[in-house]
Parts: sequence; structure tokens; C-alpha cells
Amino acid sequence: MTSGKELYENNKEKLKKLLDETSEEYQFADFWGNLASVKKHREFDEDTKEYVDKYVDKLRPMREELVNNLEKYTEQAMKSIEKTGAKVYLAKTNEQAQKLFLQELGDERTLYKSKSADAKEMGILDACKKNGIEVIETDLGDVLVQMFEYELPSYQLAPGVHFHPSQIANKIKEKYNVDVEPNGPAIVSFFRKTHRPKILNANISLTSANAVAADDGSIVLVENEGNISLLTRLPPKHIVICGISKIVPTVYDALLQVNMQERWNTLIGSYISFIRGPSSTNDVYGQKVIGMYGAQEVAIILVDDWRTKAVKENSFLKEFLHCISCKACNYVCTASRAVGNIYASKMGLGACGIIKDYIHNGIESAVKNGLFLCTSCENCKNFCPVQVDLPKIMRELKKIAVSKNLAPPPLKSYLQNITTKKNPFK
Amino acid sequence: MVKLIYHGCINLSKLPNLCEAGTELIKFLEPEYQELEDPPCCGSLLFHTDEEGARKNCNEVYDWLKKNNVTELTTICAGCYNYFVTFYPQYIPEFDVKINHISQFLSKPEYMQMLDLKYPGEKKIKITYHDPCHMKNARIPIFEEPRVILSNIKNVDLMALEWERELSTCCGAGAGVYSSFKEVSNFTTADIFRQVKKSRAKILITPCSFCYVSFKRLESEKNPRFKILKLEEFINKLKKGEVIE
Ligand code: SF4
Ligand code: SF4
Repeated sequence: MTSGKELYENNKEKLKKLLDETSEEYQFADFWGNLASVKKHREFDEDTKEYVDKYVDKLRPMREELVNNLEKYTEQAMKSIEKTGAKVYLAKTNEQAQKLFLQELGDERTLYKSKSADAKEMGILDACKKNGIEVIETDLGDVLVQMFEYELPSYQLAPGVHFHPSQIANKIKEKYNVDVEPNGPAIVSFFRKTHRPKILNANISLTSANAVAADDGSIVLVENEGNISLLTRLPPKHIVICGISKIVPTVYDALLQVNMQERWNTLIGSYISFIRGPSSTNDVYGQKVIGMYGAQEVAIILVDDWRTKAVKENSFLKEFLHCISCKACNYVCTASRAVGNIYASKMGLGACGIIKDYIHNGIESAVKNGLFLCTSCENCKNFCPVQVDLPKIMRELKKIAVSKNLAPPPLKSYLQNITTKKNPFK
Repeated sequence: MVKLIYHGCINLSKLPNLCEAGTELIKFLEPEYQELEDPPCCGSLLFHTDEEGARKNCNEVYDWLKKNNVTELTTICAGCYNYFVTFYPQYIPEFDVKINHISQFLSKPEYMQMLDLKYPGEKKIKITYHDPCHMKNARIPIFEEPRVILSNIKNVDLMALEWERELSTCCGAGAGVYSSFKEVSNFTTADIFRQVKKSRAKILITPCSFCYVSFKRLESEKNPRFKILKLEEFINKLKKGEVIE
């Protein structure tokens, strides 16, 4: 195991990159520090404020009902989904989810996907890479990340938002030898032309879900770009992969959850899809036939991995299951605003990224990705629509790290002084 | 029945002038307040890093307070205030020592009257106040008391920071981050300085020793056109009629 000192030095090395204006880390932090702010994102317009004030208090009780009865609602969701005519699986682990996914993919070698933090977290993208499957991103943010071959963590709701239009235009010239004006409309128009026809020819698509209704099996997806609408309707087969914590008790709860994900971030998506199984028709003599214009096959892989274990053991991670993945905590995080994507893992910025990193890669990785940069300012909790106690989870992680001798040496010496000299500064 | 002045380790070890100011003020208003020798650390960082250590330290501190008959304490440290008010009852449900932050202590109307504060300069002075995390996130949050004190000083205009109260910006020093990663406070403190500049205040008042240390470090680097003073330091200077240049 790496020592706390080595991890600290590694953190410090990364932080040095913030002094180099040409580094990717500097560019991201510079962008993020200015974009993300408590004030900017908590000043709702009247319409949003009215909605948020009316509904936000309903979220936590709804999430608690789900988390406290996670197995029951997972079972109910499975039955409801089955009734819709979709295939449904419950993967006990991420590895099992990867296997099921590859099995559903069959011989197809090209996958068209929407933005999906879950797919990344569950190792689906790595599994594709390992098995020689070409992944074609369709969300513009991911398209940009793919074009730039950007390896560092970025903001999951808009993964390419930190690229400057002139950088994008230059990259397009380099990759496609096309001159595009360095502005939003010109860049969007370019990708509409290159990527839209690709989606029309896709055979299999992959999406996540913003919510899954246990009572009627609806898979609910929110988007702006229209890629999800196309991906879930045009290809013959649509695969959904998401954690069981995306389940909500009822379809009304699903609407509450997705609306809050948007409104809390002062975003309003253009489309909300409620998908209940494959397309069908009863128009030929009243006989139900599956596969009309939309998908002919829908397969849903619900992934448990650590989730029911956290509930059963009542571990500190149980609290994390209340999260609705709105990412609002990213905007308000002190450490993220200060150091950008140095306080982050491949699974996301800020506390959520670090906690997921701990879950999947262990404490050493969490420390390496900046666990000890968290100032415990509690902004993330204060501005979370579900009041998820991320600071408490982070404290628990720090306790684990300290017990394994992974704390930064200066902090360690303070702690020793408290115990031995009753004063950290002596 | 002892009323204790509890300065907190950071002040005792690094900021003796603040301890002096706090003691002078508290004793002036309530002479029965006492300082005790070798007060133990409230535990601060242990709450973030060591469950058993935190529990043990809480119990030891509580025993120490009991042994010395302390029934009430007033602290000049926002961190100690938060840990005592928020964390101690989680470890010791029967914790019954009354905890005050100095802003709560000073804001009592009779004490405000006794102090009768006035800025001695010829012109009115603009000041501003920063809400620290330790006070906004405490189980009993403190927003109003410092504002009551500051807005009642004659010849002073209390300006609002762009981000204040629940929205205020963290100084970046909490949870021991300052000990290891000053890079965080480099950014956040610069952002707070930007807000102070925008407020046109000539003095930034903080009630938190961690914010104070963080601000002071950047003050020496950035040379801003405003002064940084800790709440008790500012009030004690006014009490003595000192002009703050
Ligand atoms: S922790 Fe809260 S704010 Fe952060 S993503 Fe989850 S629900 Fe949103
Ligand atoms: S408590 Fe930690 S994770 Fe949460 S906003 Fe503050 S610095 Fe970020």
C-alpha cells in the first residue's frame, strides 16, 4: 500500500499544475472556478422558485421510503418492467452487469450511447474497450470529450463545457479538415450534420435512466439535445443500464425526481421520455404486435453492486443512496471551485466523485483523488435538494484513511499533537 | 459555578493578541469570567478523522470542565463554538455546559449599552462581515448577533458582502485542509477579497480564527486596500478609542 506521504506528494504534484496556465488542469479549474458558484445557481427565477419551494420538501421523504425499502421496490420494479414487455435483469455486481450487457449486445460491434454516468461507473465503457466494441457518443459534451481524447474528469451534466469554441474549431479542423467558425451555432450545426445521420443508422443504443418507476415500470429520461429521443426510438434495440437507486416508488415520484434534477440546476430540458417497453401496435385486428416504429426490443439491467449491502448493514454509504444525481453539489463545492478536476475521480467531480471512487476502487484511490481537499464547508449538503449528508460521508472516509495511515503528514502531526499534547499547534 | 473564557488552541498558540482582546472585553462586561490553566483542545480535527479519538477527547474535555465546575463558557473561536454545540451532544447526550460564541455574548443589549461603541475617525467608515462555515453550519447557527453588534456601532456603515449568510464563501481552511493544502484557500480567500473590494468596505471583520489566519496570509501577499480584523479585536480597539488606519 502507498503511504500517506506518497499520496500527499502525489496530490501536491497535481496541484502544481494549477500554476501552469497551459495545463489541462489549470484550464478546467479556471473555467470551473468562474462558472460554478453558490450564488449564481441558487438565484432561481420566479417560476423555478415557485416550483422548487412547492416540491423540494417532498423529495427527501420519497427517497427515504425508497432507500428503507430498496429490495421491495427493486422487486416491484422488476415485475412492472417485465409486464411492459421489456427484458429486465438484476445484476448483483458491476462485473455481472458487464456480462449481461455484452450478452445483450450480441454480435453487434458498434454501440451508440447517450451520456451515462452509470455506464462509466459500472465499467461498461471499459468492457466495450476490452471487447473491441466501438462506442459512439451522441451527447455533444461527450462527443467533444471523445474528439479531444480528454482523459481528466469533467462536469458530468456537460462534460465538454470547459472547451473554448476556438479550441473546438481548431480541433475540428485538425480531425475533420473542416473550417468551422468558433461559435456555438456553427459548432452545433457541424455536429448535427456529422452525428445525426449516424444515430439514424444505429442498431443498438445504450442509455441510463433518470428515474425508474417501481409501480408501472417506466424508464424516465430527461434531455435537451434530442439524442436520447432518437436513440430510444430509432435503433431496433435499446439497452438501459442503471443502479437500483434510480428506482422510485411511483411514476409521480419519477416526475418529481426528474423535474427537481432539472429545476434545481435552473435547467429545463426539452424532452422527458417515459418509456414502457418496446414499441407496439394493436391495429391489426386488435392483435398486439411488438416492434412498430420505435424499438423492437428493450433490455433493462438494474445494478445492485454495493447498494442493498449498504442498506442491510446500515453503513455510512446508505446515506449516499438518497442522491438523485442532480449534480448541484458540484457547483457549490469549495474544493472543486478552487482546484477544479484535481478534486475528482473518473466518476465525477467533488464529493460524489470521491465517494464513488472509494466504493469501486478503495480508500487509497479516494485519497489520491483528493479526499483530504474537502474543507467540510457543508455547501454540498446545504444546497442539495435531498440534503444528502455528503460531508458526513467524507468524514467517515477520512477516518478510514487516517486509520490506514493515509492522511497527509501535516494533518497527521496535528492529530498526534491533539492526542499527546492536547493542542494541535504545540 | 465557573464561567470560563475558552480561547481555543489556535488563538492560544498563534494569536495571543486576540486572546488578550477577548479576555479584556469579556472581563470588562462580566468580571466573574475566568481563564483556567492548560485548557484541553476541543478536539476539532478529531471529529473529521478519528471516531474513537473524538469520543475519548470529548469525554476528557467534559470531565475537565466538570472538575473545574464550569457551567458556561464563552469562546472567541468559531470552530470551538461549532464543535461544542454541534458535535459534543452527539458523543455526550447529557452535555450541559452552556456554550457562547463571543458574538452572542457581546450582542446582549445591556452589554452593547455598556460598551457604547463608536468609530473614532472623523468620517464614517464602511466595514463588512464574513459568515464563516463554523457559524452558519452549527446546530445553533449564528447570523444575526455579529450583525447586531456591528450595525449598532456609531459612525460605521455595515456593508453586505456579495455572498453572505447561508450563501457565504468558505475560506478554504476548514477540516485541516489549511495544514496540507493552502491551494484551496488561495482561491477562496482571493474570491472573498474580491467581494470585500466590491462592497467598498475598508475593514473586513471575521469572527473565526481559521478564516482570520487564512485571510491574513493572503493579506501579506495581495496587499488589499482594506484591513482584516477579528471581531473581538475590532470591538476592543473601538472600546479603547483606537483609530484604525
Ligand atoms: S448529493 Fe445532492 S446535490 Fe449532489 S448530486 Fe446528489 S442529490 Fe444532487
Ligand atoms: S464539504 Fe467538502 S465536498 Fe462538500 S462542498 Fe465543502 S469542500 Fe466540497
